[in-house]
Amino acid sequence: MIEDAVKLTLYFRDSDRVRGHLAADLLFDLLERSQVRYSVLLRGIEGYGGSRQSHSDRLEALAGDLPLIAVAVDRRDRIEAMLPEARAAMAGGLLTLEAARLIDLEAGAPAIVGGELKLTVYCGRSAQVDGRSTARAVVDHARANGAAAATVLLGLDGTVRGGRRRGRFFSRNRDVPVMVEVVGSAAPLSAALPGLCGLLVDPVVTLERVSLASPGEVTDADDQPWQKLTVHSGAQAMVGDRPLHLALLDLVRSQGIAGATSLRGVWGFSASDAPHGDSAFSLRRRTPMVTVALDHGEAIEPVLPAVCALVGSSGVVSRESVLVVERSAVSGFVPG
Amino acid sequence: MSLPVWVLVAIMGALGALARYAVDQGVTGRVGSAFPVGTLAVNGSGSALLGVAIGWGVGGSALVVLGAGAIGSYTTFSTWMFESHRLAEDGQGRLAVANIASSMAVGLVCAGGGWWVGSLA
Repeated sequence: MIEDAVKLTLYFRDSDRVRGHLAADLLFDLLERSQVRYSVLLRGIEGYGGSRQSHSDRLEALAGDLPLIAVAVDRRDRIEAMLPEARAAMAGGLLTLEAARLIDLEAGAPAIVGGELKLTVYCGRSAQVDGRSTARAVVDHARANGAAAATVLLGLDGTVRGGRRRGRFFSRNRDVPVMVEVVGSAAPLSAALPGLCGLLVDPVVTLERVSLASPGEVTDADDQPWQKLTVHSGAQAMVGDRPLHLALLDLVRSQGIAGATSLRGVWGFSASDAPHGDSAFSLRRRTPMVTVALDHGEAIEPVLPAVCALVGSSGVVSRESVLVVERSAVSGFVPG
Repeated sequence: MSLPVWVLVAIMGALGALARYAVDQGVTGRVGSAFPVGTLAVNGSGSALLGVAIGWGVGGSALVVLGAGAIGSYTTFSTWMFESHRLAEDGQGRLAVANIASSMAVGLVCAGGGWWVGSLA
């Protein structure tokens, strides 16, 4: 069964406040009230947008206002019903809507031919299957089936099947959602779908169309006005003496791209490396990284060759169309 | 230590923390973010200030209020170490060593220079 679903994504900041409340709190209270099927709040480690001021967890002076990304997926009518309130919960930033397919694997996995896909799986942080982490099992399964990249991103807050799952400071946070993002060609990803059914308690996944780009082979321009450029890489990848994900942020920023954020995953792979994450006795971080940049297609397009050249074989570059983009006012109430 | 000294340490400590926040933000915002120059700036200027005070002959309770209160909260050891560690985590080992070495060199030169300036007065 494939449901016509919409993915609502909000790009904003940690310290954004609306009418005295943190924007993230207002938004996830709304997602809870609306019983949105899946939603996850992610915090970036570095990024810029709007004011173009960079924020980063590397320096104390810049660590106060890190980028946040909230993702919510549900049926189109349910997302559309809560949209006015979602707008009102924003103090600034970007709101995007993307078409997605919500697939209940128990009802049968569809065979999708042609093109490239992004598959997103949601599960609890401590969810286990056969004595091991479900999220890691999904990554291994994706790799075994020939996916190009997969990354586990830890949520701070969210809803799972409409119920609130909020991370707390003094808690094991077992049920707080994680999001596993997998990209690859349609054939291996649709072949991986039936196997996911046995790994997930609630085997519902979302599928979106993307196009993977590689150096020297830039795919045809999309006619959608806005595009999201995503790079899956690893924290250990360097460009000269700078980590790849930071060099990427520098590049898109210097090229005038409207906004970009780097997220640190906990486990994953990209390109040819085996799944990796941090280990207790290593100073160097080996987490997977996901860097997202957003702008009009005509701004993304010219930057793509340089991004592909920078990433080389150290990561996977993908692009997807964004249906609706709304820039929220820099501050103050945005009427719904 | 008398109550007024405790109170003054608290007040000067608060002012020192605010000054540190303002200087760190200002310097980082202007110079960029590849290297922790904001922290270097507060540690260097704090060392110079304490050098001037000691060279000038500040001592006793006044030194406690200035050293432990104002400059104690203005300068930072922990952030210097944290940011060095963070550079090493990102594979920028040379920058991490440069951050540790340059802060020590700048701190010593500023403290010595400050002491010399203070002792002239």
